[in-house]
Amino acid sequence: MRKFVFFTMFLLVCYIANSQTFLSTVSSNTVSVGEKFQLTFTLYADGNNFKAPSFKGFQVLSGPSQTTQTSIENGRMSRSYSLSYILAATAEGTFTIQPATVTSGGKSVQSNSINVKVLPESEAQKQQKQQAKKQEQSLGQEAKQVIAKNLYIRLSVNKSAVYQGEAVRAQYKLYRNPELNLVSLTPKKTPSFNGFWTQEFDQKNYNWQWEVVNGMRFQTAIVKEVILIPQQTGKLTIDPFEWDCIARLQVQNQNRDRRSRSMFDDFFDDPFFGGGRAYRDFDNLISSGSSSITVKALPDNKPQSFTGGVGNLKMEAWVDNTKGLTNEPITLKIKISGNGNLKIIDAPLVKFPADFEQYDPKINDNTTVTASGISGNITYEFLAIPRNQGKYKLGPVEFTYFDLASKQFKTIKSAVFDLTIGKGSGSQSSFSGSATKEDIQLLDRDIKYIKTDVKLVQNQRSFYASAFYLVFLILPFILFFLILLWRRKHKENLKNRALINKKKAADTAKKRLSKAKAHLVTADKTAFYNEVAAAIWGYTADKLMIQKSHLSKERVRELLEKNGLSAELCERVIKTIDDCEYARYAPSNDEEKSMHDTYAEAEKVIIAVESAHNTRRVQG
Amino acid sequence: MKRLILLMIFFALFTLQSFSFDSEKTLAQANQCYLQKDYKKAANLYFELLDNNYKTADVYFNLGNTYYKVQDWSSAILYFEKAKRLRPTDSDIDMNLKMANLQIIDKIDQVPQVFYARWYNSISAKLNSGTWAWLSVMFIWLALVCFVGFLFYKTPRAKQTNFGLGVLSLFFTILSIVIAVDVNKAEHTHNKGIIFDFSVYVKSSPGNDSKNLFIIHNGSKVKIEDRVNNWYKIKLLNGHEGWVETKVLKRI
Repeated sequence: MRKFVFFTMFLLVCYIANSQTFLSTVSSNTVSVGEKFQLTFTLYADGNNFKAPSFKGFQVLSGPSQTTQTSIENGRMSRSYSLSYILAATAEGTFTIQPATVTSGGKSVQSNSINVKVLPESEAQKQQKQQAKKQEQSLGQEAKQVIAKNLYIRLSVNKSAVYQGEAVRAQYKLYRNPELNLVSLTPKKTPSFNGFWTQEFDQKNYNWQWEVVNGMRFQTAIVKEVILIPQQTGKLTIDPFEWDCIARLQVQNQNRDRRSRSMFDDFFDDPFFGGGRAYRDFDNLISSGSSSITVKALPDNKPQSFTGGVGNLKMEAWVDNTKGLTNEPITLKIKISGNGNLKIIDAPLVKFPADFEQYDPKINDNTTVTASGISGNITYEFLAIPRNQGKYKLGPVEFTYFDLASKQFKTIKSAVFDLTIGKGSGSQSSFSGSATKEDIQLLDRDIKYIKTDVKLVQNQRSFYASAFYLVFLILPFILFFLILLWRRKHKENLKNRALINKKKAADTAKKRLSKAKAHLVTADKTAFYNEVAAAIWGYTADKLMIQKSHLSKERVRELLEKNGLSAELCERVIKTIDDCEYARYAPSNDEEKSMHDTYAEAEKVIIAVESAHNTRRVQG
Repeated sequence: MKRLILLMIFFALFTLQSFSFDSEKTLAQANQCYLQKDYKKAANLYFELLDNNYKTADVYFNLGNTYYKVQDWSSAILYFEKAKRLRPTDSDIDMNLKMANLQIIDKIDQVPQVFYARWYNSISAKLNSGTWAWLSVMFIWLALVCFVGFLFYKTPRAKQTNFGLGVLSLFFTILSIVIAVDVNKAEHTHNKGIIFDFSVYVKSSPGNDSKNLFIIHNGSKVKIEDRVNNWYKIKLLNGHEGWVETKVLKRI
């Protein structure tokens, strides 16, 4: 039995020895939030490859720190290694610290896990913390106050309301109590002056001076001085100038003195650095603060020659040479002097006569920056080259500025410069740039020679102005009118005669026929037929009021038909004429009979036509 | 008695003087002087011809040439222009005027005219008013012949032709009369001038205190549009207008 017990114990020991070669321990299993405690991992063997668990819920304040312990027990030397962490709980609750692992003797060994209970913060603890915080805060504040009292920057502006373009001086002055132990003092943010044209004074070395403010002696220096010329109207802000400083202040030992009285009351009174006092460096930002100025706009009635000048200004203008030559430059100088925004004035408007080639002005700046603004003079040199000879007038040059004293625009006018330009040496063709290629070709030729073959006539009046012209013009109209008159009369005559003929047509025909009858009696065949044909021809011509010479058989038929004669009758007329012509030349068997027949037919035809005509007229 | 004799002598001299002027000789002399480069004397002789009413295009042309030779461009242009007025078709005058115009400073481009105005101007400038008048007479007689023909011809075709020709002639008659009137008016109005001062400020209104509009130089041709006291309203070929003093220019 005892043997058994022993064996069991042995096994147990072996087990413990084996399993507990790597242990995790904590200094306290119950902690409050924020409280520190120690976590130790101990390995009772050699090992390597240590892997710590995650410390979730805790904050590692320090560690791991390693210790080695060697002990000799019963003549056996044993060694232990331990790693310890200082942890603090961050939140309340129960947290488990997971086992760590290490490789020992070729095996991975795990430590045990530990539960840590985190309790809420205790009241006392809280109070203590808050107090410390408060103390720190009030300390900082008090330090700030102290620093502010002994080290500051002031921004001073000499005018608070100005006109646009009127110069303002801004000055940043640093005040320092020499007893303040300054570790460092550096500019942090240099001001940018938006809306201003700026001209800075050179401030390479600070000129430290003594000054007594409120009974305290200060070292002062102007750290920045600027002339500002507002370019906009309205309320403009002048930026602050900020400096970073670190001041070393004596503070009372907190542990000893927790009285509520100010720690610094006797700070400067005590020349000794007594026991229980310590020094601390305080960061601080000192700022000059900003300042605003009101910029008034210039009056609206700006003259055209106003180029932005504001202040108390004068202008002089002169020409170096009023008698020039073509192609040789002439200089007009305009000098603007006085006190004002000289540097930002635009050049006065100068218009040389059109024949001058004008160049941009050369600006000669001869100004200095003074406390009251910019003073001195600026000279504008206008160069112009006359291109043609002649007499020209230049100017007057006008310069308008805003006078700050009278608050009005003032215009200065120069004299008018009379320029006489003679012919210079430069060739004229050198600048007749508009000559085209064609022109140049023409220049090579000469003019045509004078006219030598001249007919000299004294001036006469031109034909246009003579009376003949009118006569010649009007004469054709008169002639035309006369011709028209004559023609009309002639036509009337013709018509009348035709009418008479028409009336007498039958009679004439009868006369003819009776003549023919005489020939019939004498049996003169040719004469008979001629007379008959002539009788019919003449009758129709008279009846139709046309000339005999215009008659032909076709025309007769056409006209008769037009006059309303029947086709049959027309045929008979034509046939009679045909018979006459035929019979004249063709011999006939019974000539006497045919002559008689023809005669009778002719008589009948004429009577028929006459009656047809008459009936038609009656009808008509 | 003595007085009478004196008067007679005076009249004799006067008539002698007026009849003794030998134009041909003066011209020959002037041309000779020109050839010998004695331009001053040549100019004087040409002026003598002008004074004796021999105001022909040729005399003006020769005078212009003498001024051209002494590089008095304004005068040269003036007399060339005068010559051109009298004989617009002479190419020599045109050529020399162009040459003289190349020498002066201002290059003034003419405002382009509408095409029909351009045609009309170029046609009307070809002849003087007298010739246009003769032309119009010719056309109206032609019209007369045509219309008479129209009356007396019997065939319709001949009538048509004659009538057409007559109307056409009548149209040309009217056209040439219009041109003759126009040309005559141009010949008798001296509304163009040549600037003689080296450089002249052209003002916006008559008076020295008015605004300067632009500068013109000697030799530039301007059109005179109006006159107020001793100020001319002028218009350049490019359409710019303004006022100048009468003394700065000479009329063509």
